[in-house]
Amino acid sequence: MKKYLSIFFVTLLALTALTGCSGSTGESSGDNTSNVSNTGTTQAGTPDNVTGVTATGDSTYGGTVVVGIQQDIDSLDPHTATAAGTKEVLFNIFEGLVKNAPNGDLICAVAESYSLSEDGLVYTFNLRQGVKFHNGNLVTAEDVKYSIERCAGLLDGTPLVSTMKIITAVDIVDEKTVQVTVDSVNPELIYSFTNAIIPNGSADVEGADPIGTGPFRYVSYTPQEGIVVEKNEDYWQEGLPYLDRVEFKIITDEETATLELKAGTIQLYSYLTDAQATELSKTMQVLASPSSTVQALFLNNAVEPLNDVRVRQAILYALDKDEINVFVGGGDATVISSSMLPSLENFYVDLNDVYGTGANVDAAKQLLTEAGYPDGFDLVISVPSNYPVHMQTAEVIVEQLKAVGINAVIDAIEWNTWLSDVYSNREYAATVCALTGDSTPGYLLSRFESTSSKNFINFASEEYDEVYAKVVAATTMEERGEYYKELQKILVDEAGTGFTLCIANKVAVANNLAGYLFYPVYVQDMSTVYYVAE
Amino acid sequence: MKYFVKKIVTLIITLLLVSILAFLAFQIIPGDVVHSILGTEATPEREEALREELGLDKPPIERYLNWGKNVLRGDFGVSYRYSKNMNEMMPVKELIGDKLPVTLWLALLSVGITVLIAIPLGVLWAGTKNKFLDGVLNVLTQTSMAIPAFFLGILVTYLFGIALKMFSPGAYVSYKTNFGGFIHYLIFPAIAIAIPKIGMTARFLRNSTLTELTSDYVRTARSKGASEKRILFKHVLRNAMLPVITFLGMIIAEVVAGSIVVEQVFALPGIGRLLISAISTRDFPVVEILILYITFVVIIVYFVVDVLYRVLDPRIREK
Amino acid sequence: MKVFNLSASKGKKVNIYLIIGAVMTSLVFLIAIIGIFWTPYSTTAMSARERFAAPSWSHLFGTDNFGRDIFSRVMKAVGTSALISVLVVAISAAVGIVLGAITGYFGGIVDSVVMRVIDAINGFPSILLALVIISIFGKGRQNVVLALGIAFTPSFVRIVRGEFIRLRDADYIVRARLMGVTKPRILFVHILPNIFSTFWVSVTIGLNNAILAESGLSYLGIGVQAPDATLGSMLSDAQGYMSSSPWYVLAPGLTIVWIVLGMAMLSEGIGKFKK
Repeated sequence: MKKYLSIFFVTLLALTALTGCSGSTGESSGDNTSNVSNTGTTQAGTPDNVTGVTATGDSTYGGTVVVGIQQDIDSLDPHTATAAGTKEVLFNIFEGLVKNAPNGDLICAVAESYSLSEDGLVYTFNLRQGVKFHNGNLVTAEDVKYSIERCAGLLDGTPLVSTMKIITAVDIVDEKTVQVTVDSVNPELIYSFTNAIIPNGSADVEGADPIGTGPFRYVSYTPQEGIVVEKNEDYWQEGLPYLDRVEFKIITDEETATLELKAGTIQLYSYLTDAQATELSKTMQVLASPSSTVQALFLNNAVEPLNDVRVRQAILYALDKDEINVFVGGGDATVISSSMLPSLENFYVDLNDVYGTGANVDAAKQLLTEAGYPDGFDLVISVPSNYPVHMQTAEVIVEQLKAVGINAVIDAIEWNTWLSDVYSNREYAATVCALTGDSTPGYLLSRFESTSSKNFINFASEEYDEVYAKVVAATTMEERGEYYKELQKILVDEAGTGFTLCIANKVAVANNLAGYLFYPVYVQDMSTVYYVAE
Repeated sequence: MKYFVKKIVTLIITLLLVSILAFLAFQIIPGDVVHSILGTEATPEREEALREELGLDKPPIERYLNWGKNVLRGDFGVSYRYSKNMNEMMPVKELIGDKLPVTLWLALLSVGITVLIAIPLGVLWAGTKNKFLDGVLNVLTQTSMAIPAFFLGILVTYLFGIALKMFSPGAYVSYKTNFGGFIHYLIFPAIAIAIPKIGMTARFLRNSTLTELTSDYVRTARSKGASEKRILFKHVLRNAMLPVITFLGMIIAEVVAGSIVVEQVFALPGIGRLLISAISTRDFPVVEILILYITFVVIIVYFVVDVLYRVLDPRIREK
Repeated sequence: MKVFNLSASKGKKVNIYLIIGAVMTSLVFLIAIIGIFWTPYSTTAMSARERFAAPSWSHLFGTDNFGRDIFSRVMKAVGTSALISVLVVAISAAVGIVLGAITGYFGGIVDSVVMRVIDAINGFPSILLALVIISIFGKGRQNVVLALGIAFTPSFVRIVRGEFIRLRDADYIVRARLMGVTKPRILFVHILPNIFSTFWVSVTIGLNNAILAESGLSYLGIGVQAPDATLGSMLSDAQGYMSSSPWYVLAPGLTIVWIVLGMAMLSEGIGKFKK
């Protein structure tokens, strides 16, 4: 029942990504394999630049893998699907002009290269020759134009991808060149071109099946049971995928998932709970990698007494993040203090010293006294009950707050009630949940700009807004990176919210499988997974 | 004939009542489908566009009447949450039709197991003079009813799945691909459902048999010199079965309406699980039809029970 | 004295069901009452060092994922669970007796109207019902009780109604009617005592189901709220640790079995005692 709070994901930005795709700019066109090795996918043996390497051995082609997924598919349309759990599956079926790579870079996919005009307003994409859709048709410039216009809302006025709103025109220059014009500079827009390329007009065709260019093609979907995909024989990356067939099976119950992994009826399952990881590591491979989510005790900055910065600071002092890490993170999580993933090294700044990672009861009590609450106060923490991790974290936090005199109680609510009452209507005092980034590094910070529709904690800091305005105006990633660090600092000083952990993503993999790669984005790439030769 | 007409009228009234209640419930409970679909990616424009697309911008009464009109025409609408392909949502009829066989077969198997074991057990129990056997059966049936369904599911999983390796827990086999495998898998959840029902049914049968044995007509039969066996099988059982039939009816209705817990523990994609997920995602068209279906089943089962009652008990028939 | 004669039901022999039932049930009550005032350990204090300790003399039932003493938590939870399930069954059984008696005995238009409403409730998922009641009346234990009480009523009405239909034409009732006994007296003095053997079975099942239904609601976030625990919510929390720390799930699970079995034995014993 784990639905991860947000939605898809993010990455390490290659500062060089303004032109071309990692390693394969312009003329190196036919050289597909250079891309492949860049993703860390070698034919056999051990990829060297990836965490969590699976069993070594010679790779074999063929076979079926059943992957357990935690939630049902919300849409088969890659542009309207919003659930993270859906996007992680569709990653295998669809590709954009560019796509995410395990090391956080973007690699070219349907495009073979691209360039950006000097004023930053015109993107020129050169399409890769010979990329075929799953229906056998070659990808044309019309298909690309249609797909981007659909995302940007140029077809019917409703942008399906909000960052692509700034696109004003998509022009076909020639058969293999498409130009995209935007009305304002945004160096992070390139990440939005990971959105799927679909056949021209396919979304209007009655009963259209999902057709993409990815390593696997769609076979069938049964609600509550799962989705089946088969090998795309015409996939442009030579040598991929290995498997003939992948079945994504919906298993909403963690106990069932454990049993199935043990029985061998599923071979791969990610986002294990601490209990599952402990249990399964005895008999199968359990790989771990930092996840793409930040968990926090979110505080509503607009309600009494949390509107007083001293009260919020007192709460932050009271939190013992190390203890939370032991109880819910299995000790493998990274303690964080602000809204940025530690894996985004170019943008992350470690601010754990400000309030410390352990509890500082004296400092907390002192601040509460200054704020006029020497005996503490009552606090309701509303938690979405379908996330055991957040429920458990909330239980720990209640105990920690008790130590400084704050009488907190948990109000467990349904996920849907949470979305309406807490997220949309902002009628709450505190909540525990996690945020997942978008495909842009600044996404997790953008929501705290005071007028953002996603600013559900009602964070209001003029200083923050001013710096954020500079971010938007900045035209290079270096510049943005500096401002991002400033934003993180302000968020911590103002005690906007109590960030806790970046919990590790643990994946159970059958012993005879290898090649599983972690991505800094929320995807489940099956194209590189293979059975080890016996 | 009059009886049937009356039954049908009451059926229709009940269904109408239920559909209105369910609709009202969805107006009252917090959280709506638009938030559920868009999640945290919601922007005011997309929310509004989606509301319009789903027809949620219209006043409630108009929506209910539209829905009712369509249902009467046989159009059950489409799910808000399950998509059929890239640009169409799953029709409710197809969605439920797909899950229904799982639940129906599960019900059939569990009721079958219950009847097969509980009826002979109840009769044996009522007829036995062996005090030790009586005590053992008493404790066993009490215990079977005291085990929580979820706990029982886990115990069955561990015993038959992990220890005896008679099936792979969680590895549900679709009836569409392998019917034999499907039934094989279903036997174990059916056992988990049946265990407490066996206890209940056997107790019911035994209690009502013992009650009947003290009644006047039995005394008369005895005084006429009828053998105990003849009294039990010829006279008593027929009457003693009456409350048991009501009971079995309730069991059937309960299982056909979806065994939520057991479906969850054994990862069965049946009606019960569909209902829970549809409620939590606020998938109104699915919930509404499922509730109507459940009500329909419950009423029909009770109707059949009622008819059986009349057939078996002349006292009621005469009235 | 044949204390261990299971069949002791006749004459002056000791009623073994009554004894076992009484011992089991009073033990639970005792623990629940002590639990209100005192538990061996705090029920909420966490300890990172003592997570998942197996049962031992210092922790009778072991510790949970937060290092909390499971025995102490069970002591507290028994009280909460018992209170909820007794109230739920009391409400639904009381309403069930009144409605079942009236509809079963009199039939006619009252029967039709009441049974339609009962049918409607029966088809209505109890989770949706609970969500509705909680959104109207707000959260809290009493509303969990109310929601489950309503959800449990139909089955009691049906059982009682069925029995009243069966007995309304029995010889002794017909005779009583002819003798001019008042209707309430026939209903509640002549018929009601005769349905108790059947009715008690439903009550014990109801108690069990109420404990579990509450856990289902806790699981969906509409039951009793953490860190307060009921046996049901402990059971659903413990699910994930079934294989690594089986005591965590066995403690609340077996406690439920113990309580329900004890009650059942007790009622069995009372039944025999009356004879």
